[in-house]
Amino acid sequence: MASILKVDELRGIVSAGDITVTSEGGAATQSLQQGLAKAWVGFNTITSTSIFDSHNVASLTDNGTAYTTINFSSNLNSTGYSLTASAGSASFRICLDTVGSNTDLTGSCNTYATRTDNGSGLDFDKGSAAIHGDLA
Amino acid sequence: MASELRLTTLANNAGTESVDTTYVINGSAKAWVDFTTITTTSARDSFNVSSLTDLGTGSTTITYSTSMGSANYAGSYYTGANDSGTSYNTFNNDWTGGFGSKTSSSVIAGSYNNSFVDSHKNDVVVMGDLA
Repeated sequence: MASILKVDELRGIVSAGDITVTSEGGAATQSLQQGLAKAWVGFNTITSTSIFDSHNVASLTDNGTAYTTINFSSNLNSTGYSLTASAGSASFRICLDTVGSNTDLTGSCNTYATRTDNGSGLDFDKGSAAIHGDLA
Repeated sequence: MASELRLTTLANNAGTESVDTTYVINGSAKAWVDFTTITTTSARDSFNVSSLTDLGTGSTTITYSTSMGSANYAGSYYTGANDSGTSYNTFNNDWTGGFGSKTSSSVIAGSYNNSFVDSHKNDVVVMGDLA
């Protein structure tokens, strides 16, 4: 029989920020909070940098061709979070990279789109980014 | 004392938003790590990662604390391979079959001209089923 729990907040008993869920195979458990994406965004940088849809993203900053800053609504608690991103262009094969010597901050992170044939920067039609880590 | 709740659906109190718990469990990342390969390969933070192994310039093996249920998981790797000044002329690629083991994954950062490089920031996320 289906069961539905209606709540506005889930909180662990022993530790408020740690709820354990059982794995798909049933042989392991993992932290619910640690596995959740803390932010994600679908966006484009053609003509104007804009958001298609997002979670925990306050805004995007256009830093010039190919270079975008993603600003979070709620900050991460350290810069040691995992950012994964990709982008596609109708004109060239491109790859989305981080920028410089780990310029990510707790309140924002950066992406840079690069053409794979010659390494030059390029704006793109659709980019996607996800953040996994610890919220403040 | 530990308590267990078995549910099919989670919803907000107003009932306007809900998610099947299948999506909660299947949709959660099973591992993630943020690490550097400059000078010494080391993690800044991670989840379900027991160790990193430096395989040489640009290449790293990530070993999981709890293994995946099969090798058919989805892994994503992201890096800024070339950190020098304003030159971002790089992209990343993975070993062939780099995300093909239940217990570990191997990734490599390369430039657009196919040379391998170490990087200040390397990020991996794994989605799939735990054992």
